[in-house]
Amino acid sequence: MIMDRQQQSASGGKKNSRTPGRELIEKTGRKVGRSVFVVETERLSTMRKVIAETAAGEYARDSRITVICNNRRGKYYQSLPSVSEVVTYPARGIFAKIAAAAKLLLLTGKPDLIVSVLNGERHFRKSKLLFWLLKARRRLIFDGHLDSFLLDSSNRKRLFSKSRKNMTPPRRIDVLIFETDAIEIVREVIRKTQDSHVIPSAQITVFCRESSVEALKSCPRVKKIAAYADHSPVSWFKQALRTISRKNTVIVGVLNGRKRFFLSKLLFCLCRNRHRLVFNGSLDCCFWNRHTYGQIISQGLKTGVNSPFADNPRKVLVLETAEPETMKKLISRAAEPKVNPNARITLFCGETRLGDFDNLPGIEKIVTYSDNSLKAKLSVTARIIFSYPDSVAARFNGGKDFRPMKMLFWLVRTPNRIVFNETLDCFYLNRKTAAMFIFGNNRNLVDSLLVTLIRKLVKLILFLPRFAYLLIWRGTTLLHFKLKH
Amino acid sequence: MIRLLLLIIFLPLQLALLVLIGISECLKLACSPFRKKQPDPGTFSTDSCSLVMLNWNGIHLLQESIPALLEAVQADGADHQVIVVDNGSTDNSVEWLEERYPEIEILKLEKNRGFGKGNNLGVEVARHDIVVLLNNDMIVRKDFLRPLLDGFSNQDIFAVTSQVHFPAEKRREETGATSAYVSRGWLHFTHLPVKDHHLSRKHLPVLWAGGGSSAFRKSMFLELGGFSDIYSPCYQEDVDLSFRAWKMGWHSILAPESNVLHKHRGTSSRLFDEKHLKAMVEERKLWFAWINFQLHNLVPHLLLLPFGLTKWMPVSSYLKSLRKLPGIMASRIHMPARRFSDKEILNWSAHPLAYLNRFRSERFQDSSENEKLKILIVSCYLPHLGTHGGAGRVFQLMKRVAARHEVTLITYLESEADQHFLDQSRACCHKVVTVPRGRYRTRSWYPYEPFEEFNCDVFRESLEDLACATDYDLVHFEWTQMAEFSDLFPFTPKFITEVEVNWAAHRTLVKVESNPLKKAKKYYNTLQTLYREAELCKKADRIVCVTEDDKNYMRGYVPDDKLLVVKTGVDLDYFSYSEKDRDVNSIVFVGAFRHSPNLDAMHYFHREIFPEVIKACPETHLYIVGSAPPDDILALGNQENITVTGFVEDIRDYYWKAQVVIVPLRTGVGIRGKVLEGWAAGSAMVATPLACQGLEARHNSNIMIADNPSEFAESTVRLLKDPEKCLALARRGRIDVEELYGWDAMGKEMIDEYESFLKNRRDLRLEKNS
Repeated sequence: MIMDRQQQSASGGKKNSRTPGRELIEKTGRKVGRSVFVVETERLSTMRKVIAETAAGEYARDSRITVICNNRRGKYYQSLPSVSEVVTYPARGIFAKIAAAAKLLLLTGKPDLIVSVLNGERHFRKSKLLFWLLKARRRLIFDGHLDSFLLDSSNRKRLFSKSRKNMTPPRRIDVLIFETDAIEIVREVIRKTQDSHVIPSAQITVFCRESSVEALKSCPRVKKIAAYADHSPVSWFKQALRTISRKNTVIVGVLNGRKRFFLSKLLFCLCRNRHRLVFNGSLDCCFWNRHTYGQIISQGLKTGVNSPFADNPRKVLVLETAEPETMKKLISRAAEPKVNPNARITLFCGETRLGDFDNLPGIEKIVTYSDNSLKAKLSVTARIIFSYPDSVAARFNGGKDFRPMKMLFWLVRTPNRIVFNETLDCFYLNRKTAAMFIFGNNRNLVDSLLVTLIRKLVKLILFLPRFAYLLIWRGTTLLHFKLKH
Repeated sequence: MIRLLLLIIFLPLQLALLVLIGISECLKLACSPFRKKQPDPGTFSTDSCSLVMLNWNGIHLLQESIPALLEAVQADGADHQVIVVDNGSTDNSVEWLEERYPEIEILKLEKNRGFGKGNNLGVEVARHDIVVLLNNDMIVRKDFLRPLLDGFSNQDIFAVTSQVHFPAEKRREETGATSAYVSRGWLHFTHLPVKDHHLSRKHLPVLWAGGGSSAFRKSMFLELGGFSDIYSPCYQEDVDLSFRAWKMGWHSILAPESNVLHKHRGTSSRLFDEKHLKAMVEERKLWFAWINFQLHNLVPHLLLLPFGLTKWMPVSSYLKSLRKLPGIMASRIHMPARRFSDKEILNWSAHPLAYLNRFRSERFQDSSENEKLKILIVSCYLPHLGTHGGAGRVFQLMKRVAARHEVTLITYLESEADQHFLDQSRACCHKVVTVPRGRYRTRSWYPYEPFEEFNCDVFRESLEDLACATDYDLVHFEWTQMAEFSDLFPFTPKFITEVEVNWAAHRTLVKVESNPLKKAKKYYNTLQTLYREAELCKKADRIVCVTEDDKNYMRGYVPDDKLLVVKTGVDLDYFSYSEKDRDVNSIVFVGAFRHSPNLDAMHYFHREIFPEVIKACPETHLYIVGSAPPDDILALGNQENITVTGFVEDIRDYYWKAQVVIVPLRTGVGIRGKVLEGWAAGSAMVATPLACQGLEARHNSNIMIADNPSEFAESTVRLLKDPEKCLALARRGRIDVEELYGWDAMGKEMIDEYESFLKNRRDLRLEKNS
C-alpha cells in the first residue's frame, strides 16, 4: 500500500481500514467537530505554525486535523498535539506519488476545510496541485507572512498578489568544500561560493589537511573544518567517512586537471550528493548536471584553459551539411556574437573539401574524414561525437543531401544544437523550437519533416497502383496511335 | 501545444458557427428566386467628378490636404465638385473651411457617424457620375486626378485607386496594389509592391480600392448600398465594398500614375491605441470573411481559426467579435448572386497575369510579316558556351535568332559560377532575367517526379512579371521541364525543345541495369517520365527534336504535325581544325559530370576498357575533362596515368592535344555535342553506337564505333598505335561536319520555323475571320 496512514489515536491507535474521509467523521474519543485537511506545502517549522494557527483559529477550532505529507516527515506531524491523523505519500518515485495522489483523490470524502501555504515559492508544487484538486467545502490559505484568508470570489486576487511571497530570510545551506587545490585557490573558492549568485546563504564546512586549518579558519562563514593528518591516508579515510556521513546540501570541489589531491577529488566525484558545484582551473563554476557533465569531463580537467564556463570561448562544432559556398556563410553566421559569443569554430568535413575551407577566417580547426578508409572514418566520427563541444551547428533544409552529417548532428554529445535553415536563419533546438523544426518553415518552400514522412509513405503505397496505371496508359496510347495510322 | 488545445476547445463553437452560416446560405438560396436581377449601372462620364473628403476634428490635417486637393482640381481644369463631410467636429474645422475656402461644399453632420456612414452620405449628395473619396490625411499630388478618371475605360470598372506613398521617415506599409491570401485559416490583407508591369499596363486589378484615395462609379456604389454599417466606426469597409463589387462582376483597378501621400492613421490613432487598432482590424477581417466567403472556403477557415488565435488576436477579442453574428447572417442572406468565385477574385489581385488572360485576351495582335518578333526563351540552364553541350546549343541558336528578332531570355542560374558566362547572353539578347536555382515545393504524391525540381515559385513569379509587362509573339521553352510554366501563356504560341528525350534516356538506364528490382524501379521511372513528358508536350504548339530518332521516340504520344527536327551544330570557327602537336599517348574524355550519362560512361570506361588499353599501351595517359566532377571521379586522378582536370577555361586545348577522343556513352539520348566538337577540332574518336545516334557517323570512315568493351579497347589501341589512321578519321570528320553541322544553317532553320508557324497561324485566323 502506497498511502500510509499513521493515526494518532486517543482510542489506542487502532488501525482503521476505512477511507480517510470516513474516518474523519468517526468519533475518536475527542470532541470532533469539522474535518480539516492540512496539505504540507512548506518546511516543517512553517507548517507547525500553520497547524497551530489553524487549530486555534475560528474556522477549525475543535475540529479533526489531518495532515497530508511526505512519509519521511509523517512521524514529526504525528507528534503534534493538534493533529489527529497523518496521511503520507512516498518521498521518492513519481509513479508512486501519482498513485498515492489518485487514491487520495478518489477515496477521500469532502472535508469542511482544506489548508495550505501559497506563498509564490516554487517548491512543493505537486502538493500545491493536490491542494487544488482535493474537493473541500472551504479553502484556507496562508501567504508568505502566514496571514490567512478563506478563499472566496472577493479575495481571489490575493492568490496572485506580490505581497503573498515569503519575506523570511533564505534557509542556510550546508556546503562541504573539499580542499582540492592550493590553499589560495581554496580560499578563493570559499569566497566565490558565497557570492550572491552562487550560494549566498552557505554554511561552510571545509574538508582539508591539518596544515591548512590555520589559513582557512579566518575565512568568513566557515562553520567547521574537518581536518585530516597530512600524508596519512588512514586519517584521510577516517575523516572522510565522518564528513560525508553528515548531510551536506552542496559539495564543492576544484577539477583542474592537476593530479594533486587526487583522493579528495575522487571522493568529491563519488559522493552521492544531489548538488555538486565544480570549479575549473579558471575558477569559473557550474553545477554538475546532465547538461554540464560532458563539458566538465572533456574540458574542465584541463588546467585553467578550455573552460566550459560562461566568460570563456565557446567551442562550436560546425558540420558540413551544405555546399562550400553556403557553408562559408553558415560559418560566419555561427561565429556571430549573438549566435555564439566568443566562438571557436571546429569544422568537420570531407577530406576532399578541405581546400574550400582552408585559411577561412573564423575557423580554429578543421577535422576531416576520408572516404577511403572506413576504420579511419569511424574513428574520427567517434572522436567528434565525444568531443563535447558547447554547441553543434548544422543546416537542415529538407534536402536529402549530407544525410550522414545530419545524423551525426543528433549523436554529438552537447547541450546546445543550433539548426540553420535554407536561408541560414538559425535557432537553438529546444522544446520550444522543436515544433519549428518538425513542422517546417513555409518561407523557404521546404516541406516539413512531418509532411515529408507522410509523402514518402503515400508514395510507397501508390507505387504499384501507379505502375499499373502507367502500363495501361502506355498500352492504350500506343494502340490508339496504331489504330489511327 | 496551447494552440492545439485551443483548436480542440473551440471546435464545438466553430462547428456551431459553420452551421449558422450554413443556415443563412440556405435561406439565401430560398430567397434567390425573389431577388431582383443585377441592374445596369448605366452610362457615365469621366470628364468631371465629385471629390468627397471626410473630416472629424482634423483641422491640422485639412490645413495640409485641402490646398493640395484644390491645386490638383485646378490643374485638371474640369468642373469638379469638392465636398467636405464633417463628422460633427468640435475643433472649428467647419468655420475654418467656410472662412478660407468658400468654394468647397460642406456637409455638416450633427455627430460622428463613422467612416462608412459619413462617406455614404457624401456620395449621396455628389452630383457627378464618378466620386473620388479621400481621407483628410491624404495629400494628393497635383496630377493625381486624371489617371484616376482615365481608369474608367469600360463599363465593368467599379473603382480606380491611387498609388499610395508614405512620408519618408515611415516604412511604406501601403502601395495601393492590394491583395489578400489565406494562410492556415487566417485571412491576411497585404499591399504588393508596384512593379514595372503596373506602370507599363497602367491599370491592373486590386482586391480593393482604398476608401481614402480612390474613385468610384456612383451608380454602382449606391447599388451596392455603400459602405457596410457592420464595420462601424472604421476599417475594412472599403475591402468589403470592393469585394462585393468583384462578386457582381465589377472590377477594381490600380492607376499607378495617380499618386497620393498618406499620413497613416492620422484620425483613428487619436481615438484608439495601437493594441485596440490591431484588434479592430483583425476582428473586421473575420467579419469580412464570414460575410463574403463561399461556404466551402469558410470550412477550413473556421476549423483552423482557433489555431491562430493567440498569435493573431487574443481569445477575448475573438469572443467579442461574435457579437456581430446576427448582422453577418443577415448580410449573407441579402447578398446578391455572385459572378466570380472567391478563389478567382483573390487570384487576380495577386497574379495580374491571370486577370489579363481572363479579361484582356484581345491584347495579342498578330505581328506583320517583316516586323521583329518578340520571342521569350525560357531555359533551365544558362545558355552559354564552354561547359555544357545543351547550353551551348541553346546559346548558338538563340544568338542567331536574336540577330533577327527581339529575344528576351529568362533562365535559372545553377550556381554563382554561372555569372561568369552571363555576359555572353547579355550581348545578344534584348533582356536577360536570371533566377538562382532554389528550393522547390514537392506537389505530387506519386513516386518519382522527373521535372518538379524546376517548378520553382520564384521562377514562376519572375516569368509572370515578364509576361505581364510584355505581350510576346512566341515563347520557346528550352528543355521539356520548363513547359511546366506553359499555363502562363494560354494565348501565345509555344515551342518546346526536347534537347534530350527524357523517357528514352531513362530507358537506356533500364537496359544497363542488371538487378531485377532496380530494373523494375527504373522501368517505372521511365513510364512516369514518359507520362509527364507527353503531358507537357501536349501543351506546346511545336516540339523541336534534335534528331530524327528523338522525333520517333515522341511519335505516338504527340501529334505528328507538332514534331519537327532542328539538329545540333558546332561552331566551326571556334573549334578550328588542327593536326599539329598531338600527344601520341593521350586519351581524352570530355563531358560535364552533372549529366549522369557522362558519369556512367567514365566509370564504364575506367572499369572495363582502360585496363585493356593500359595492358597494350602502358604509356597511355587518360585526361578526364569536364566541370563538376564528383568525388569518385576526382579519386580516379590519384592513379598515375589519369588526370582529372575539372572545369577548364578552353576545352579546345584538349581536343587538339588528344591522340584519341573517347565517347563511351551507354545511357542518354540526343545529339552528342562532343562528337561534333571532336570532328571539328580534328580529333580521332572512338564511340559507342549510342553516342553516334542521330549523327552522320560511319565506322572506320570518320569515327571508330565499338559496341562492347573489348572492341572499344581494341579500337582505342589501334588508333594509339596508328597515327596515320587517326589523321584519316580526323580529316573525314572535318569535311562531314563542315557539310552538315554549321550553326548558321541550324539558326536559319529555327527562324524559319518560328516565322512559318506564325504566318500559318495568322493566315488561319484571317481565314476564320473572313
